[in-house]
Amino acid sequence: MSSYRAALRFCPDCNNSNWMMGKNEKMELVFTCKVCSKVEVAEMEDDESGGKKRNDDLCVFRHDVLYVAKESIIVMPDIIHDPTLPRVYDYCCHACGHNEAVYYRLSETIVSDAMAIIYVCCRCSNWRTEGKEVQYSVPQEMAKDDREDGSPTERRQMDLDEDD
Amino acid sequence: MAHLPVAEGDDADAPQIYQEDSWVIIDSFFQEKGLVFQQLGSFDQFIVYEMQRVVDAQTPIECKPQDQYNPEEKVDSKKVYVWKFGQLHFNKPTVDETDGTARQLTPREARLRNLSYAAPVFVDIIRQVYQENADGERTLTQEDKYSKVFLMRMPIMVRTEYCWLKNANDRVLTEFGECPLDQGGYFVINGSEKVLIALERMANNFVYAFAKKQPSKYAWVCEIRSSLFEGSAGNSGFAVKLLTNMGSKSYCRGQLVCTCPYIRTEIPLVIMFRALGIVADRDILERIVFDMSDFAMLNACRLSIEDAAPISTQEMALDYIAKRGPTMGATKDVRVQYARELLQKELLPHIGRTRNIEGRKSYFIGYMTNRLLLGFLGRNPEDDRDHFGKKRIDLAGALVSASFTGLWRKSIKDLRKLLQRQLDKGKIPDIVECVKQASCLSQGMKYQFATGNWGQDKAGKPVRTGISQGLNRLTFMATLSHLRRMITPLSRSGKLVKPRQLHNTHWGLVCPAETPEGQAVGLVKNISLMCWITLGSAQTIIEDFLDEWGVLDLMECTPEHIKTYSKVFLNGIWMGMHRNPAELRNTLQSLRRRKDIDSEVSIQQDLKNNEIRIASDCGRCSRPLYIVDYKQQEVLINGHHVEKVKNGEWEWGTLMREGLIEYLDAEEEECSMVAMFIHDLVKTKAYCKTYTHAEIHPAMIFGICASIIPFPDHNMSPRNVFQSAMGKQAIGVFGTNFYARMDTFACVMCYPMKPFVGTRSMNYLRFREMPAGVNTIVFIMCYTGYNQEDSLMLGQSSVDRGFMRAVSYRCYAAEEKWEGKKPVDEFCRPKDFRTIGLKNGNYKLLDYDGLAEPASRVLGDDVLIGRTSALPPDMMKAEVGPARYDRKDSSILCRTAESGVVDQVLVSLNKDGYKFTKVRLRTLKIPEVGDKFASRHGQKGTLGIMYRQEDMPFTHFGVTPDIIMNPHAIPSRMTIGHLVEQLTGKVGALVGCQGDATPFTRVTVKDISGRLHDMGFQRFGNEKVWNGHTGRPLTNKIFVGPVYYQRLKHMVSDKVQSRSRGPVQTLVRQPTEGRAKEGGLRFGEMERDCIISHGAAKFLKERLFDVSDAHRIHVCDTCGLFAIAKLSKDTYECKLCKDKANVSQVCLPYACKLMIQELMTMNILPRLVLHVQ
Repeated sequence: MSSYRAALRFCPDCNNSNWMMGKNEKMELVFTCKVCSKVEVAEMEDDESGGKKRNDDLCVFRHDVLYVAKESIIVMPDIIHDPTLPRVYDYCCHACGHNEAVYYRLSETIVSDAMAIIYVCCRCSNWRTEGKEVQYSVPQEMAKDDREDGSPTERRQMDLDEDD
Repeated sequence: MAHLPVAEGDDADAPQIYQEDSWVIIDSFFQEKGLVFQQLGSFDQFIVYEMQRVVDAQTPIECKPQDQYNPEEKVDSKKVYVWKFGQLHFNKPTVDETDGTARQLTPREARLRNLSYAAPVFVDIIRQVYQENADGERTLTQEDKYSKVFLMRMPIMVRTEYCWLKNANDRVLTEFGECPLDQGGYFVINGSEKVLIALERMANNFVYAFAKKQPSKYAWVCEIRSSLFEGSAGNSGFAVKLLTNMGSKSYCRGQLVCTCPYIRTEIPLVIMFRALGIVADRDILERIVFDMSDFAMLNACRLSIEDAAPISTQEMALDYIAKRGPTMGATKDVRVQYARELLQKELLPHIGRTRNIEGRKSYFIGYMTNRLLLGFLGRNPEDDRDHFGKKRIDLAGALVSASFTGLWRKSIKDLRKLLQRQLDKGKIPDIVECVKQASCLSQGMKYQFATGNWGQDKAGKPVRTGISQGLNRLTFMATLSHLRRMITPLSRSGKLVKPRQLHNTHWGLVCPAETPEGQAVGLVKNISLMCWITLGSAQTIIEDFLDEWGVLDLMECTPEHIKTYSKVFLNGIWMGMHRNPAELRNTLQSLRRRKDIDSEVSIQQDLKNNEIRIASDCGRCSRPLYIVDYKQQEVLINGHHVEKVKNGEWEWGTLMREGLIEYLDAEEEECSMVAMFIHDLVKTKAYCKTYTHAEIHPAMIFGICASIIPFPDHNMSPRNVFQSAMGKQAIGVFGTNFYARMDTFACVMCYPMKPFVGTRSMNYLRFREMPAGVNTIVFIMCYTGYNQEDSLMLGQSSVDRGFMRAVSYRCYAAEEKWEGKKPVDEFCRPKDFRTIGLKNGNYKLLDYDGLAEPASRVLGDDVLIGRTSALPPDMMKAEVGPARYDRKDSSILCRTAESGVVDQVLVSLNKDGYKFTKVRLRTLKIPEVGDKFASRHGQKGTLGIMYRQEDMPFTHFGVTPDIIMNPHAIPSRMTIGHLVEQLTGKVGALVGCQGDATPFTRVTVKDISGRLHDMGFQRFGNEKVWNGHTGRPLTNKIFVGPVYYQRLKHMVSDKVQSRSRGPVQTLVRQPTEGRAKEGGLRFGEMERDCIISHGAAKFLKERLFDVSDAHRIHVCDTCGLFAIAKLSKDTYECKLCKDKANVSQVCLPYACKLMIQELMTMNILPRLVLHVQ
């Protein structure tokens, strides 16, 4: 359970995070910097790209009543070069169909499926878990379409309801 | 993880190697390195480089005569004297005789004459004199060079640089009176051999993140012990801590704080960043989080950022820190300056202490915080404290270096004082004389070596005890094992189990079997046969290589680089970032295999954290492995190479240079895939296809003592531990020069044999040359019942023929002492008319010189060395007897319970030039009932009975056993190795060859029993046996075969003890305790309780009173105090009551009477009330 200001914001001038939230006479959301006293009015309208402003950006306070910090699955693509990891040679990658994969056990702290076995394809580094619910990485081309800013080094899980 | 294959073009069709070929490689390893290479290498490193480095690091002594406010003594205070220390010079060890001559000193002479094997060290000193003018400018007026000023005598490790035995061949060694098989690696101090035991400690400059056990103020901590030089004393700790979140009202709300040297309280982490010049929140978070899209981690920092908002500038932050330090009453400017210097000089000194280093330090603190948060968020597990890769071993060199540095500092301090005092007096000091006076180096060094009290803290107390130990010379194995021992400086009483357990990373580095039982279990370790402890190599070479191979310097990195590139660490210092870690790793690895960088350097790629860690420091444990070609999955070494090694063309170093073998330390091993056997690499049925290395031979995981166990892989592991401890007590041959040595105690077996069944490793341990045991025909059976409960039956006839016979030697030493022409102590035959206090012993053995003649038989309490001492003059006068006594007896007697023959007498001069003698007594030890024997499988037993051959059971061939062992010793102990050894031994004895019992080979019981069967014997070694007493056949078949048995040093003749009457303690008049003092056995509280419960009051009184300290006193009936009794005149009187009638005689323990009198001296009046009221 935790309460905090939603997102960390930095003053564009001095790079400090000291933004105070308040309303000016026009009843607009205003951010002020404690250090350099710069005042900025928050854009409530949609920006020119057409997309809706994300809720996170406008959220000023957040209170999680039940918040369990679980980590999403992050797979380093280099892991396939690790000689100490065991391998399977009758694997079929969902992304490229390659037959070789390294596998290891996830740690207990990770998402719903703690200690599940995760397979990482030795050709394309896409992964898939084996356990109660199957999760797998979205191949890079698809991910690119999905969100532009997704860093190539780490892919986060996407939940897909799929029954074996 | 592709390894670069090493070019070997023309060897494409070279024959593959087999596991058997590994022994050729291992041969070459031990041929080049020997068995105590870690001791020798480490001390060489110290004597050749480290010692000079300590001297070079010394800032010149600068002295200026001070005015003394005494008109008589006028000094020139405008002159400045500067002394600089230069090159050190060593001589080989010498001894300064009292006649002024210096002669060469060999280890043998040092041992015999109780001298120290130490080399004189000289130093060049330059003296500069400056004239100072009014402005404080200096002009050089005079410069003198003093070359080779005597500095100290440095104890020299036997067989290292400057030792007479360095590089000596067997012939020369024999001429020096040394055992050619002796490996050196020890010191000789005052005639006794001293080993410096290696110390295991946590590595410096390593970041560890730990979760704190709740409830605690901190949730997680991330620590580092930062030190400028590896192993130097001045290391400063630093820690980033995360406070536990205990609710919004508490002080602890989950903020990040850190410690700072010299600052009492913890500093909020953000303020520390501001003080280091990283002011803006965003910059700070970039240092910590690396990836600004990581919300979970940003959130963890949020509160710390908000809390530190009031301290918004660097100046304020520096002031905040300084206020919490020792800056009472200083102005703000002074405070800020103090904090600035503190951060520059004292914070994380391993990164640097130069100007503008703050940026790097802030990155490093950010990295530490990142590690902390990774742990806190559950992404990384807690660090493993017991990981052997994070341990460093301080060997002899490092230990001597530490103590030399301490003594050098103290000497320089004293020297400076002395020089200053002389200058103040107006004298120009003589540096040679002053160094001699002020130096505590020789004395201090010798003291530390002799006592083992290592180092001195500020209070003058030893930092650590038991570092220098007397070398165990019972058996050659025990000696070797002692030289390769390693201790963890934890208190032995600690209940912590973790550090004692065998860790996965100990594989191949620490022997899994050899550790003592009981309180020190797991804390005392022994290094494995092929464990190589690094000596350290220069960091700068690697820095240059890193620069060349495209490592982006940390100060040129953008946040984007830090997010995506790999971090590169060198000895715990974050050097920079690299785009392609795999490439960098491969490059460095191939450079190392070509020996362009030192082969000791370890390169690890941590794929999980995206880091490359390079280590070049000293004290890391590593071991050699075959390199496997990653693509081909074949070991690079091939039959041609092995052939070259076999022919002597190549040696170990060549193999390293050719890139066929490399050293991996525990940390690098973690990211390598090592095949257990060469044949595991066979592609079709390989367990894995990603091997990077292959084990040379898994038998190399064992240490010295475990390597003599045959078939240890067939035994239950505790049994191997027991044997490892027992092998050190076995009587054997401890050195081929035992006859020329005068050890205080030594034991040598008369007819030792090399074992029928042995391991390959024994070749390197010289166990076959200097064995400690006898091949014995063993029947495993119950015979008459005299081998129950771990006892053994021996053949009397075998013993008569010399089976297990041993000789023990004991030396008695004494020296004379003279004051001028007057003898204080003198060897002589004490004359009874002038000598007081003659001992109750036999003086007849003494010759004219006061020493027992060689070859004379000695019984207990016989005088071996006759010596008288000067009687103090007051004793001569006050003596009750006639004044003819002028000497006091101080002869040396043979120990009461021992006897033997005088074997050898040595007469020489000691270091003070006085006459000095050692008398060696020899005793034959024939096995008798109660002596202890053991096989090599932790199966020890005492001798229960000895039967003559005709009473022993016999087989169809007429074979009778030397030892009958009880079969009940086998099932619960599961020492299958014992049985396999016996079976193998039987085959060996029948075929006429030695059995191979090396662990982890493909030899099976089936093979061995098959061979036995082919010989016409029962497959499993069982034979029909006839009873020796009756001649009737026994119903069951008996397992018969030879086993190698050891005789252990615990012998009945050294332990028997009995007493009826005898000496009493002077104070309480109770019987003495202990065998050496002819004492009794204590009837203690528990025994008393037992007798009370039986109600045996009379017996109890007899034990505690009549046979102990019975005494009679006289007590006044009226006052209850002691009365005076004149028994001869039959008069009794109480002085207090003036009463002569009512006095009673009381019997009570003397100790009780003593206590009553002691109470009286304390003004307490205990009255003995004798009548019943």
